[in-house]
Amino acid sequence: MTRGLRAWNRVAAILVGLCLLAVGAAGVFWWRGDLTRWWPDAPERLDVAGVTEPTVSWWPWTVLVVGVVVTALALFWLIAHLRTTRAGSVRLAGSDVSGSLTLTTGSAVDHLGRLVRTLPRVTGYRASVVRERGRLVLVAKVRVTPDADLPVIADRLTALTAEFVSAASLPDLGVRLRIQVTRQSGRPRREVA
Amino acid sequence: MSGPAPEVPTAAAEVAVFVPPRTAGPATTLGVLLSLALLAVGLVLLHDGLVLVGWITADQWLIATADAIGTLEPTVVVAWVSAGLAAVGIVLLIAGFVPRRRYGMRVRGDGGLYLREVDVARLASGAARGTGVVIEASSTASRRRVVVRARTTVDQDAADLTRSAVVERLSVLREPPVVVVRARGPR
Repeated sequence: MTRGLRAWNRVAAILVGLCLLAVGAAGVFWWRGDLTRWWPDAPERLDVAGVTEPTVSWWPWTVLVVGVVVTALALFWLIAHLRTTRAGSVRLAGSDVSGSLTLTTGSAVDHLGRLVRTLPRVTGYRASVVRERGRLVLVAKVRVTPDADLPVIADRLTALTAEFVSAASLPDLGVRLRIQVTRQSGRPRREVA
Repeated sequence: MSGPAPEVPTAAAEVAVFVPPRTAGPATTLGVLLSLALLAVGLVLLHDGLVLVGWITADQWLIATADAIGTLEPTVVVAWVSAGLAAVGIVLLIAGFVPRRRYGMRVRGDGGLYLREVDVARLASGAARGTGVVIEASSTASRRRVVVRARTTVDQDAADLTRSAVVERLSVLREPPVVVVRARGPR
């Protein structure tokens, strides 16, 4: 999900919220009889059933075109939520007219995974490089068992991510690595001293 | 395991910049709901447009809805429905302004590592079980406090042993939470 979409979702929520608040408040004031204070010509009743279609020739086509446009926009908006910010390949510094250096993030992340999985008590690993606010971020999740020696694992992971940052030649790469602890497996262990 | 394990470096050569995790925020859920609502509006217009142009033969949904509503007068029902709409509007307004919250507990060092509260609780339970004086343990954790409920052996120092094991295991956190052990005897 991109930053622009987040901003748009906020704007949409605020705009629709304001409209609903205005209509709702108007309805309550109408019931209280206060609406005429701000709107002297406020109707005493609304004949919704009396609504008729305009008879002008362009009306049917306008409704159809607006329907198509609104549907398309809504689909675009909905699908935008599914769009990933994953960076598949990254152009590295040193690229010029004579050639370009590209890092395939998938294989770099897989290599990191092979190293991470050799650590004791690590049972799972998942990572990708995403774009966030104009910066590349390594987002990873390393699963360990509850009896893992966290200080040791944290040290090793710190070293590995540092190596990843320097090996990928991406000095500005951000890192967000969650150490996820698995639920205790099976029955509780009974250890009696 | 077979074969030599790849060498894992132990010294940090470069510092990773930690980018903290953030919640999606309520506006994201609302974005999906509002886009679905807009889709519904679009489909109704599309349907009625096709009917008006004469490509399909059916009743117009907008006209049918208007007929169903009939005549509106300022009744109590209208007031309640209006109040409901205003309430939804206020919720949307608030959701639009709620910022994305940072979460997670950072690990000491510059690896960009963090744990969620649930992970800290599971680690605490794991550490307690590893002491040899704990029969069963369960924990709850918040950013500031970890409470370990343990059924221990008859060992006099069981609670202290458990506490120090948990404290040591969690010492890796940048801001370690206070550890509270509630120990019960074997039965």
